[in-house]
Amino acid sequence: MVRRLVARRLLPATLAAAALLSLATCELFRMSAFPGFLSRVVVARDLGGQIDSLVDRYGDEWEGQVRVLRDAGGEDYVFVLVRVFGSTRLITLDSDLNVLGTFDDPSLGSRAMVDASNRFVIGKVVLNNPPSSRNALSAPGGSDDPGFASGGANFVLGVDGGVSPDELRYEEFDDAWTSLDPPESVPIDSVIRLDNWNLPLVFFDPVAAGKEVILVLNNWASGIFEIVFTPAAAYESGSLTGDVVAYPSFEISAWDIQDISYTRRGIVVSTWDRSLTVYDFLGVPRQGLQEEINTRNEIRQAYDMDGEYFYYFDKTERFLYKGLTGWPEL
Amino acid sequence: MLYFVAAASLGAQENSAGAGLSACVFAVVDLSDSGENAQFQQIIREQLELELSGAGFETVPAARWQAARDQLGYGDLELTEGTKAIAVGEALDVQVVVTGFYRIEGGRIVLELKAYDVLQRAFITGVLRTGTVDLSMYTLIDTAVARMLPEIRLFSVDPGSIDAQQVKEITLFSQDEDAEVYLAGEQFVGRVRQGALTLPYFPLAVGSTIRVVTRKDGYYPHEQEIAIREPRVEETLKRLTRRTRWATELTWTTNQLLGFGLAQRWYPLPDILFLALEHDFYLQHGLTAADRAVIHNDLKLLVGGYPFSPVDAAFRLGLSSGLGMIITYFTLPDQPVFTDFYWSVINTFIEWNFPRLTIFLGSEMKYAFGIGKNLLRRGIAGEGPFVSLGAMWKW
Repeated sequence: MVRRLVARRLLPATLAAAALLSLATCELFRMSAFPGFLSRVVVARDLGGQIDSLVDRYGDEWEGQVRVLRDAGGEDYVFVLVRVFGSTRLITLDSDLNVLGTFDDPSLGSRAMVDASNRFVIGKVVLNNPPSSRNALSAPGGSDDPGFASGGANFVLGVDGGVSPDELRYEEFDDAWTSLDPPESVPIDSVIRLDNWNLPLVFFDPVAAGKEVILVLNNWASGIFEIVFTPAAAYESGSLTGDVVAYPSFEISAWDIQDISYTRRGIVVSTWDRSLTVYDFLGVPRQGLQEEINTRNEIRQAYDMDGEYFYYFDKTERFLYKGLTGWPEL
Repeated sequence: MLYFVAAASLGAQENSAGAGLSACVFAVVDLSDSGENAQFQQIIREQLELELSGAGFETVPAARWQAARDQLGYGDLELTEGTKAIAVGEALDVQVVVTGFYRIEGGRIVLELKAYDVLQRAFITGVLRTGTVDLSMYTLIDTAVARMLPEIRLFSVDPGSIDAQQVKEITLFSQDEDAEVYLAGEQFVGRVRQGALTLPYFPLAVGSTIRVVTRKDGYYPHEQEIAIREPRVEETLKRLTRRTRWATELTWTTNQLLGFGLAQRWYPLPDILFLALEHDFYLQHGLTAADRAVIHNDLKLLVGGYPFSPVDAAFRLGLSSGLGMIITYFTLPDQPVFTDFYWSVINTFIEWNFPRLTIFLGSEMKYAFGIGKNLLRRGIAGEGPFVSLGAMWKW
């Protein structure tokens, strides 16, 4: 009788629970108080040993960036740049996040490129391949001026704000970083946004024929980013034309953009509110590829060129994560 | 068939007709060190017999019960034990036996009298009195006897003579085997055997109510009022609530649905205050091919209680709070381990109680301390409270 009583009272509760479960989507099972990307991590590396001594006394008042560069042989390397009150440190790692080297140099900067000799250039510092040692060469231009290498030549780009409309300036160097030609300049946008441009990032993808050089132009006055796809051959021949924004491009309007990365699966735009969106090359957000990075930590992001792996630098905990994006190819 | 009534104690109408009912008053044993106070034995016995006779009882002459006592091999002192007194009463075929003792020392008397229901083999009532050894002692004896009489004023009734508007039989059903049932909160009327107890006869009018208290070791007593609506009453007693000392929980919680929690509770104050050690084991997985399980082990120590709910309520609201830590590790080799220490600020839960099982729904808010190599950082963990559905086995 007791069992019958219990069964009679438990049955409705069990049925209700089953009904709730049947309504539950996979999303419920994915929910976690922890950062969602953890389950896609394939390697995690504590960089505290490389960073702590430099930044500990400054609290959060330091900047960390991460970039991924693919050499001519298709090997990826990771570069973590730490800047704090006059000191700059670079930590280089292979794609398994094994630390290859640590470099302190004030001429390090946000420029990150593979040069024409298959070396790595971070700021003005030239590193050998693999990047466990530095080369005696020093790259020209400002340490934050982006660049790329194509056709056996190195190119350094920047914005000439001394004229109106602002112009995109690029200069060609040989593989020993000797200038080959005087800088060339073309207007960026002589119609809508004449001035107030800067060029924080340039990506180079040798496989993306006809749109190999991807410029990330920022008009800081209007808060827009212009992603422009330009052919490398135009730089090599000095035939790049203005307006630059007339090349295939799209615009992203946001004031809180944190990182922009080019991948073959789309342009990844992350914001300081810890969310990211993947845009196709026409500027349309890819369906299902809007993600929240569920953490209170400050995460800086970079991706391999294929868009297969993410590299998250958790500045707060000084951890570097490599993980699978899981994104479908375009 | 013989029926009994304890009318006075129930506040029901009295019936002094005690025809056919017999009682036996054994020796009230003098336990004093000296034998100089033995005369009170006779005084007390006579007083008891007088009162019982006045209430309609036929009392057994001393020679007869002494013969029965001797036949069973007992002495007067042994008859102060209920089982032996009842055994002699059975031999005499009486319905009530009364026994007791007194002790006089240093000018003070201690008197104890007890009455037993022979048929039910049950204790009816007892009285303990102390006083000085002077003239007031007679008053003490009178008041002790007078205190007992209302509860042993029993009589036999022919069922056929019971008024149609009086109760003939009250049967109580209960799932608590061996539970003791008391009337008016103090008069024992029997134990539940094979799921039921038929009460001795009470001259109750239909339309009245009685108050029954059920008691059992390890359970909370329960008081229940029974309305007498017809001459034959069948009533189911509410199942007693077990005193919970230990309980084991199994939980399933939002934000960690790919796992479960196990907890062990210990109640230093049964059903009121508990300490709980809980371990939640769960996986984090995005449920895509790109994901690999991340393992979280959440250990916490909680202290909790039920400030707003009675112990035997079916639904109880409880609160707890405590400290915990979540150890996180990857299912990949040579990867770091993270530890998040937190304060389980406030857990509220509502329990649905069955005799041994409890189903509960709870909500927890965690405040992470953000110390050491951690993932949650300082602040409230998660975007909302952790909601748990659980079951708990109590013992």
